[in-house]
Amino acid sequence: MKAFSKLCAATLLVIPGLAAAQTAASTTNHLDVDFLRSPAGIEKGLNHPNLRGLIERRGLGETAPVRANKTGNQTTRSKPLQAAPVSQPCNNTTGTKFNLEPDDGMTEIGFPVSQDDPSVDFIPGAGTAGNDLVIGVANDWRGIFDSGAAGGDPSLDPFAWGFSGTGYYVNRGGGCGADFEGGLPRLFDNISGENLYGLGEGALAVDATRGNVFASDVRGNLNVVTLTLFRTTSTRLTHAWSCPAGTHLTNKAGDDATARACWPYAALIGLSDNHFTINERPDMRADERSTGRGAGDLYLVWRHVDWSSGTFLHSIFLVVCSANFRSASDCSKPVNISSEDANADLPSVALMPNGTATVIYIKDISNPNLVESKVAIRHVACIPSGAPQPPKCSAPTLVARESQPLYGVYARLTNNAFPVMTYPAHAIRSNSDGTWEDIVTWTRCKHDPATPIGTAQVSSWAGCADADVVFTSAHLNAQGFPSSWSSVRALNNASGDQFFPAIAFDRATGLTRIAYYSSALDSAHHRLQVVSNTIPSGSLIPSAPQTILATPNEPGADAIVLGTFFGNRLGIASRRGRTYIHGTFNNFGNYNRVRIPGQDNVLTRIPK
Amino acid sequence: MRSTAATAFFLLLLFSSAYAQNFGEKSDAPSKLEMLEHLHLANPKPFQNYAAPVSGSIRFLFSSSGLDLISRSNNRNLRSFAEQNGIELAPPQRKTSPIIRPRHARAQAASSQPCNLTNGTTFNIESEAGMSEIGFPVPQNEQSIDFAPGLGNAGADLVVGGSNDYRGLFDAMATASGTVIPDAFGWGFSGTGYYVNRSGGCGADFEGGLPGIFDPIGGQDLFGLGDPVIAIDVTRGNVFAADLRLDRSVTAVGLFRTTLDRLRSETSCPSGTHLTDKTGADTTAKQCWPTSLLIGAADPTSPRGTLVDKPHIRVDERSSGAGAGDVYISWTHFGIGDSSSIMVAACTGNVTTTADCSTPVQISGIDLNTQFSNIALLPTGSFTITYVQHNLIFDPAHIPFLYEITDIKHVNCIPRGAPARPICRAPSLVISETQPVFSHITNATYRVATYPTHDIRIDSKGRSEEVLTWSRCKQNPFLPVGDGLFDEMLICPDADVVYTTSILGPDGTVKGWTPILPVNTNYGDQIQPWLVVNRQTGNTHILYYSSENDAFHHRLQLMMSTLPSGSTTISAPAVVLSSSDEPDSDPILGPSFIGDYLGIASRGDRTYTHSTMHKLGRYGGRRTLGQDNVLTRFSALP
Repeated sequence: MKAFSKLCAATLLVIPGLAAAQTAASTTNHLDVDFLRSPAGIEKGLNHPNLRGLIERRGLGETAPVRANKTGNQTTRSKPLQAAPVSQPCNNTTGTKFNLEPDDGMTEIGFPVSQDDPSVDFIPGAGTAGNDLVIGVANDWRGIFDSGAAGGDPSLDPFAWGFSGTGYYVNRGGGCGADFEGGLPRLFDNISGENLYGLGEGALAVDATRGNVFASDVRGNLNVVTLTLFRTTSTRLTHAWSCPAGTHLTNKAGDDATARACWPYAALIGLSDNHFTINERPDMRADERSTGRGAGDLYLVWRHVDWSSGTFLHSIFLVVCSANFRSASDCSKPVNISSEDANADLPSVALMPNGTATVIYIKDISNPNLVESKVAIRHVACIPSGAPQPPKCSAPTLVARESQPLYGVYARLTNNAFPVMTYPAHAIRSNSDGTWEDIVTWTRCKHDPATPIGTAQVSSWAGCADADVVFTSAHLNAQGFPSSWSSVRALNNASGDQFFPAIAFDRATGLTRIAYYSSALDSAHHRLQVVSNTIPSGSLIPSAPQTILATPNEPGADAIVLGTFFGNRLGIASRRGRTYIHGTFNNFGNYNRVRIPGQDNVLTRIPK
Repeated sequence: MRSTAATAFFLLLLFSSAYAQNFGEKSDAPSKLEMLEHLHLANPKPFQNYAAPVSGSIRFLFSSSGLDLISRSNNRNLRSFAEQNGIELAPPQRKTSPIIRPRHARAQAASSQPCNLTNGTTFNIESEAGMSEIGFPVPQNEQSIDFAPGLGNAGADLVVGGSNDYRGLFDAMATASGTVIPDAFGWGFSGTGYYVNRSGGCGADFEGGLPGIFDPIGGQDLFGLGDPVIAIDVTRGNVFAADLRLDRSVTAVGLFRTTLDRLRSETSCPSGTHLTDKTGADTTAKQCWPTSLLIGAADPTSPRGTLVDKPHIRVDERSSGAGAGDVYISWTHFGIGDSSSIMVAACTGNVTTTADCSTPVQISGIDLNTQFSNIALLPTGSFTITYVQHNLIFDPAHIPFLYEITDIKHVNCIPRGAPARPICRAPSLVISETQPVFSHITNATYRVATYPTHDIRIDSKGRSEEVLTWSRCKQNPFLPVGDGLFDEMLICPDADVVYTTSILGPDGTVKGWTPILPVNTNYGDQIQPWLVVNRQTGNTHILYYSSENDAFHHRLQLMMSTLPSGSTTISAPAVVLSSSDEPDSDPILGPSFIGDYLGIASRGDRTYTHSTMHKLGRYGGRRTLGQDNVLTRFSALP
């Protein structure tokens, strides 16, 4: 029963509430899986075979099931495969629910749980009958609650979701609903001798040229931390035999065979048995060129945290893997691309049409002796050598200094309880004059988020009363080096909060679209709509904001995470004149026979 | 100690018998703390071993966020209490030289503000930009109220409100010199605000922090820490207030007395905000509330985490009879054996020192996990107290295996005239609530509890009838995860307000409770009911927050249901404040706390309500929402 007695230390980090969010946000740099910040996350994590160890590794608790062992017969599970609903149309009100979790939740859990932190990509026309093939990933709490239902038993129950906290959701038949879904499969780790299950922070990339689809997430247990890289193909994803419709439940032996058949190739990336390291926040892109050095390669970046020296070092690492990788041997060794930047975080990768990769990230440049928060947004260009050779990367250069970021203890809004960070996203557009231009967007606070108490001689208070989305751009040369960055411009600085900008460039139309959440139209600046602006080809003048999901969403109503977590981002992908946006919306489900809202991942398309 | 041992033995039996069914001789049954932590119901340190929840304001102050504030604060009460109870704090940030800042000698009261039934009238004088020494507005929540009809200026009502006011906490962070003495011309360190309207309308004519009470052992003033309650004896013109006080050497209820005459006087209680004087002393607040004393004082370190919490007061407004004019104070004493007990004391109407008060009476018998006491008076001068007893049950044979039954208890007491102790009977059970509300509801993040409140009306036969209301969950809130063999969630997707009644004997003896009856069980959450009987009309009013008209069941309206005089049929719910209030939007507290209760007072043809509404203030140069205490008045609701 040790786990009980140590829970208090864990919950000190995660007490819900906006004031509590100050504490939670301050731990942003030291938590690898954001959803663990909630009380339920920590407590349920203690029943998860990996999280139990990971929580101990992070000093948040000890390894033991929360419950004493009990015996009993599990309730008979539902049918082996949950059927997909008929095609669900796209809508621009609430979005279409992009998972197949029943309103009553999975049978083995008994109520619906949260999905958040979505990512998306698609291959136009590669679905069935000429429909788009749309793939999304998201944090999915079913994996955590399945382990709670199993009472810490490391073997998976039959005909259940399984222990994966990273969900995949695929539409191949048109509309915006999920035709099938599942948890990214387990991977066996030889060092710890344990299966590693998905722990969220999923990233996604497709190579439409070759039909490759890649996914990545965070894994770890007491002994190791790692990222994963999965590969499947559009052919496989459209095949009813490899990837059957419905929910990919475990089989009668409790094996996630269906998920593994759907995602057959996998590798552990950045695996480390150093107890003082964490890998997190993966992002990736595939080089979709048909030819050229590195064509088809997959670039994966993440943040690596190392405190084995007693000082926290936060670095950005990059790995490149060949298009048809089957194992880690098809990938380069991890390269530290943030050089001397010891406080790096929140990486994002984009690719130029010539195959050069550019990575942006933030560097915390706050003076630790002052009450302040400042970050620098940094840029690195990497010239491909062809996987598994690592690319040749430049030293980081400055994109912009942000003196009013939402980061660390300042990663909080006054009108909502969940953390919001200055998490830059970028895309590279091709201009009609043949130039390439990197467009970087991020969230900033309209005022200094350290509000002085009195004259600030003694203390200050952290919180942002008005967050905006801004952007800058720079032309890139062939090596990916930026010319001077434009002055920072407002994309949307309306009253209320705009945050989580996601950006995509559509090569077919030349349009760059930036989507984000906005509370501008809510009188309390609390409820959120999904809004986007487009930046026309050759121009840096964005369109007026366009409402994508019109229904104001209540982010403070979720039975599991309450209002304390809403993911870290929004997913967007644009190709051939169509844009898919994968967001979070609090839809109604049945909790103990009462219909109340809870987080769902939802998909919409522009145009519908 | 006999009762402690008896209950402990009962719990041991409960655990051991249930456990034996499944685990044989296994001895690893979870401890109380382990069970509380599993359900996320554990109090913060140093109160973590108590099964009953400490008050919301204390829970917040000793949460990680609150401790962060205390660490940065120069409030020596909180710092010394925390440190004496084994909580390590960083030293406060201090500057060596005082900073000269312009201050207002006294914030002016706004001109008379009309009452409204939309978002209420702000019942404080904090400017939109906040106190000058702080720089931004801070929250007010958890209200109490009473009034004296027509006894304000020019025939207006005299309305007195109390509220948690975070200006005290933030002033202690803003002290320019880093001293433990409040700055000159500031709000001061009091976390309990008083707000008075004496000239009509619903705005505050003056306000201030309930004054410091000197602690001779600790050698310092004890400042208010919230949980305010107000009671007025219109017959004698006495006005009472109570709140929480603590430091390293004492934990107690602060009891204050003033008079209607004094509150009307511009000399004693000048208009505007009662700021500290040029020496930092709360001189104006003290002259407005000249009598103060500590009730139920206890050593907070014996044992560690001893806490006097959650006061309630009522005053006997009868003109004659044993105990007439006396004020009764109840509270929760968290202390020995990780237990909590309900205490009561009686003080004379003209109380000036503790010699005018009885010694405390423990009225909760063998109940060891008690909280939320609430007093009501019979026309005979007898009084009744309700409270809750938390029973946390671990039973592996039961699904869910961990659950709680909250017993609502009733005690009747006969006055003997303070300072003599009242005679109180043993507690009796009102109901075992198997679906209590804990910690939070699923559509919001702030704390909610099953907190029963009551009052006494006269039925058509002239008998006293007690009406008791509380929040409960429409379903069992302990929801098994899957089969529930290994895990469960605490989820209340729909909270309701219910009530029961019982005829009372002249001494307050219960004749029999009705079955639970609905006040408002509409889809959505109804929470924090506070009940009052209008003795002139005989109507019983139950005020509460409800999210029923919000599609997400998240935003709150202030609503009221009425049990008409002599009737057993509750009225349809009526909206008091029609604005849909967003409870998550506060720069300081966010969604974590909106108070444990709200205030209602009803006399003659008028009813006042004092509640929390989020209003716009200027924070970081931007207008954004934050908690305010608001007042409204009505004779009849639309």
